[in-house]
Amino acid sequence: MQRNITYLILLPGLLLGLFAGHAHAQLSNKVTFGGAGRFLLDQGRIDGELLETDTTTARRELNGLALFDFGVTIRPNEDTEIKSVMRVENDIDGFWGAGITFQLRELTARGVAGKVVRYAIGDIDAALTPYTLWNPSSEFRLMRNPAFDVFRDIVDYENFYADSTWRQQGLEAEWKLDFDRGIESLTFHGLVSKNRNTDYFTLPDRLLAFGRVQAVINPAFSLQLQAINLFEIAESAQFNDEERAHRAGSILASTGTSCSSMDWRLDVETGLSSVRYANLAEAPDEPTEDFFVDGTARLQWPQRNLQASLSYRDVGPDYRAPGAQSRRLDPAASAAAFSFYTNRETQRPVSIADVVRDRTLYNRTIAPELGAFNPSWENAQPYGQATPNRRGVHAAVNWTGDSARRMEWRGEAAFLTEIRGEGTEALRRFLTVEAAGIVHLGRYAGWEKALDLHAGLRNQQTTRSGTEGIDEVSLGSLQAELGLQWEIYPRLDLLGGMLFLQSEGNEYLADRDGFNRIVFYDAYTADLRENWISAGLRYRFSDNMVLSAQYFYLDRLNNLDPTTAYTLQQAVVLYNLFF
Amino acid sequence: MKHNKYYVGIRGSLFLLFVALGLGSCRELTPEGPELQDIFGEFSILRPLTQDRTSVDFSAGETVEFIAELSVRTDWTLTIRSIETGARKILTGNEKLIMGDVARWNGSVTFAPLFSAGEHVVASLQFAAFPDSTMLSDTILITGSRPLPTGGILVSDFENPDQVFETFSEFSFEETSNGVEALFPAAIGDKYWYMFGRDNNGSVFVCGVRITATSAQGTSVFEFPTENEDKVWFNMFVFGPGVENTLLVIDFQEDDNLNGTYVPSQEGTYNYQIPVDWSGWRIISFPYSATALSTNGGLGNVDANGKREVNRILSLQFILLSAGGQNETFVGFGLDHALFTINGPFEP
Repeated sequence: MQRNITYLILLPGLLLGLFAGHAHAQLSNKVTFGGAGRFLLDQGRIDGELLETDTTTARRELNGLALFDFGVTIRPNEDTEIKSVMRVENDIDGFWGAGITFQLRELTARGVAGKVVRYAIGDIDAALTPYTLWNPSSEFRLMRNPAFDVFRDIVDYENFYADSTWRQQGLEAEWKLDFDRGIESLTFHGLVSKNRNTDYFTLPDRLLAFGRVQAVINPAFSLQLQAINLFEIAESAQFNDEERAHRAGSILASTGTSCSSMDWRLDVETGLSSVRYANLAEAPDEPTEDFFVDGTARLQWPQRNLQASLSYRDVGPDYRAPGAQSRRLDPAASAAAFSFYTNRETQRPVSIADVVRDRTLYNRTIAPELGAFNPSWENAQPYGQATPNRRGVHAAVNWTGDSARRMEWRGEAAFLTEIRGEGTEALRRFLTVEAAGIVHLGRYAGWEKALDLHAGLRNQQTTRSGTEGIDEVSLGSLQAELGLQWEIYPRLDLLGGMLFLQSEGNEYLADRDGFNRIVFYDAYTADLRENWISAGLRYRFSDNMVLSAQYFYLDRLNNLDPTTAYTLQQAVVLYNLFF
Repeated sequence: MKHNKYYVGIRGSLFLLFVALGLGSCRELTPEGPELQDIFGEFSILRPLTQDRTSVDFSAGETVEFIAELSVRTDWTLTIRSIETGARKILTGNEKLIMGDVARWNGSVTFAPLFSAGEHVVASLQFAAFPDSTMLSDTILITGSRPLPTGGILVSDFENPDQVFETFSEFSFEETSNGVEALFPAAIGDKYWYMFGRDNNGSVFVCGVRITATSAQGTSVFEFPTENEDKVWFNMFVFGPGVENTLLVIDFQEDDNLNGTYVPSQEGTYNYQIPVDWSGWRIISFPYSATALSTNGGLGNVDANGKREVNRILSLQFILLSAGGQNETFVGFGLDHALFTINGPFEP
C-alpha cells in the first residue's frame, strides 16, 4: 500500500519532469516563465483624539505577507498556448508555514483553430465599450504618483484589473473575414462565462455572454455592434424558478482620418438595455428599459503633442448594463488595518490611505445591483461613463510636452445634470474640473538623473436647487495630489507624496432594492478632511523589481464627530517584483 | 472619392447621434423613488392606530392587522404586549401608511413567554424620531394560541441530559456559573443554558460553551439543504438579566479542510455579536451571511478557504463577554432553543 502511494506521488512528478526536460531540451522557446513576488511588512500606529475615549482599540498593528506567483506559459505548437499561475502566500502571522495557502490563480488555454478561429478557454480578460462591458477606474486615480503607484499597481494586479477589462472564466472565440469589395472586413467576437455558481438548491447559475461584430466599411469608417446578456438559468437550482436577465446592446460608428498637421475622429455610440424578471413576486411587472447615446469628437495635433476631445453623453435613468456599471471599490467594506474602532467596536470608515493601499476593498465580479458609493469621493459618475441618469458634456485636453518632453499636462471638465429627479422634480447638477501634470525638473537642469514633480487637482461640485426646501443639495469635494521622485543615486530614489481630500456639504443617498429601485433615502452630511503624506526611499533593481521603505502619515478629521479624529502612522517595507 | 468615404462616415455617425437624441424626448420623467417630502417633511399623525379585530384565534390561522397613517415615512416600532404575562411581539418599519403585511401580527413572540389563549394584549406604536407621539390600540383577546413551528435543525434545546457541551473559562476564580439550569422559567420547555460571571482580570472574556455538530446532529458538520448563506438562519432565545455590559458572541467554527477537526490558527470562525441589553427572554435571528470573520488573532481570524461556507460549520461557541472589561458587576445571560432554520427566521 505504502509503495502504491509512493508511485502515485512520484509518477506525475516524473511525467512532469520528463515533459519539462523535453521542453527545455527541444522546445526551450516553447516554455516561458513569468509571475510576481512580494514581501510586505507593515507597522501601524493609531493615535489622536479618538484614543482619549477609545479604550479597546489596539494602538499598534504589525502585519505582513510574503507571496509568490509562479506563471508558466507552454506553447506545445505554434497555434496553442497554455498559461497557468500558481500562488503561494504566507501571512506573517502564519508561523512555521501554518498560514501558507496555495492557490491556482490563473489557468488559460488559447490558440487558433484551423488557422481561422482564435479561441481562449479559462481565465479571460474581457471588455467591449464603456456602455456595455467595461471596468471603469476607481476613485483617487487622478494621476501617476511615484509615492503611491506601487500600491495602486498591486491593487490592480491582485484584482485582475487591466485596461478596463473584467476577469472572466469561460470560453471566448474570434474570427475575421476579409472582403475584396463592398466592405473591407468583418470581425466576429463572442464570449460565454460563468458569473456566479449555483448552490444547487435555491440559487441558480448566472452566466455572462456577449457577441460583437465589427465591420470596417473603409479605412475612414467602421461600425461595431455588440450585445451582452447577464442571465440566470433557473433549472440549475432544484428549488428555484426565478430568473433575471440584464441585456444591453449598442452600435458604435467611428469615422476619422489622419493628416500631417491634424488628426480627427468622430465616435458615436448608442444603445439600449432591458432588464427582465421571471417568477419574482416583487419584481417590476414591465421590463426596465432605457437607452444611451455618446458622441465624441477627438482632435490631435501630432507635431504639437496636443490632443483634445469634446463629448456629449446622455445615459437614461433606467439604463442598466451591469458589465459597465459594476464598481471596483466598495466604500462600505472593512479596511484590513485597524478594522474597528471606538469602544463600541464600530467599523472604521475607509480612508484615502485604505483606498490606495488596501487590495481587499476592491470587487472582482460583475454584479447586477448598482453598488454603494461615497459621494465625497465621486458623485457625478460613480458607475463610470455608464452611470445612469446623467446628461451633459465632457471636454479634455492632453499635452505631452515640448520636444524635450520636460513637462506633461492634462485637464478635464465635465458638466452633467440628472435627467430624472430622485424624490423631487428638481435635478442635480454636477461640475467636475481636474488637472494633473508632471514637471521633469531634472531635464530643465540638464541632469541625467530624474527629478520629477507630479501635481494634480480635482474639484467636484454637486448642487440641486430645491423646490421644496428639503430637497436642496450642495456637496463639494476637493482632491489634491503631489508626488516627488528624485534619483539621488543611480536607481535609488527619494520619494515623497501627498494625497488630500476635503468634502463639505449635504446629499441624499438612494437606498435601492434588489431590482435597483429607489425605496428610501439616507440624508448624508459631510465635513471631512483627510491628509495623507508619505516619504521614503526606493531602490529599483529593474523597472519591474523594487525595494522600498516608506513612512506614511494619515490625519483624518470628521468635523461632524470630532471625537473620532485620528492619525495613522505606518512604516512599510515592500519588495515587489513583476517578471 | 476619398472625401466620399469621410462623408459616409460622418453622415452615418451623425444620423445615429440625432436618432438617439430624438429618442430622449420620449422618456418618462416622473421623479424616481419615494418623494423626499414624504421622508424628510413635517411629521404628523393622519390616522390614529386601530386594528381590524378585537379577538383573534391564531390556532385557526387568523391574524391581526394594525392600521395607522403618518404624514412622513419614519422609523416606527409597534409593540404588542400581553397584559397578563408581559410577553411582547415587536414589529418595525418605516412606512408612511402602516397597514398590510408590515403591520400584521400572526401570534408570534419576540420576548417570551409565548402568547397563550385567554390573554389580552395591547399594541403601542412609537417613533424613534418623535418620542412624544406614542399611540395605543384597543385591547385584543387571544382565543387560540399560535402552534409552535416545526422543522428546523436543532442545535440544542438544553432539555436532553445526554447531549455533550464543552465549557471553558479563563480562570476558575472568575466566579462563573456555566451550565444547564432551571432557576427561572425557560423560554420553551423546562431547562436552558445559563452563563453568569465577572471579569476579574480585565480580559473582557468570562466564559463560554461549545456545541459540536456531532453532539447536535450526529454529523461531522451541520448539514443544510442549501449552501446559500442568506437562506440559512440561526435562531435562539436569549435571556437578558438587565445588567449593563453583557455581550454575547456566537462563533461558528468552520472546518475549512473538512478533516473533522477545527484548528483555530488555520481555520475560520465567523461570529455575530449581540449586546444583551434587555430583560427577559428574547428571540434573536440572523442569516449566516450576517456573520463576520473573527478579529481575534489566532482564534479563527485566518480562513484557509478565504470565504464563509455554511456547509462547513463544525461547531458553535456561545461566549460571555464583559464589554466594560474588569468590573465589579456581574454579567450573564440564558440561552434556550438554539436552532437553524431555512429560508427565514424561526417565529414561535
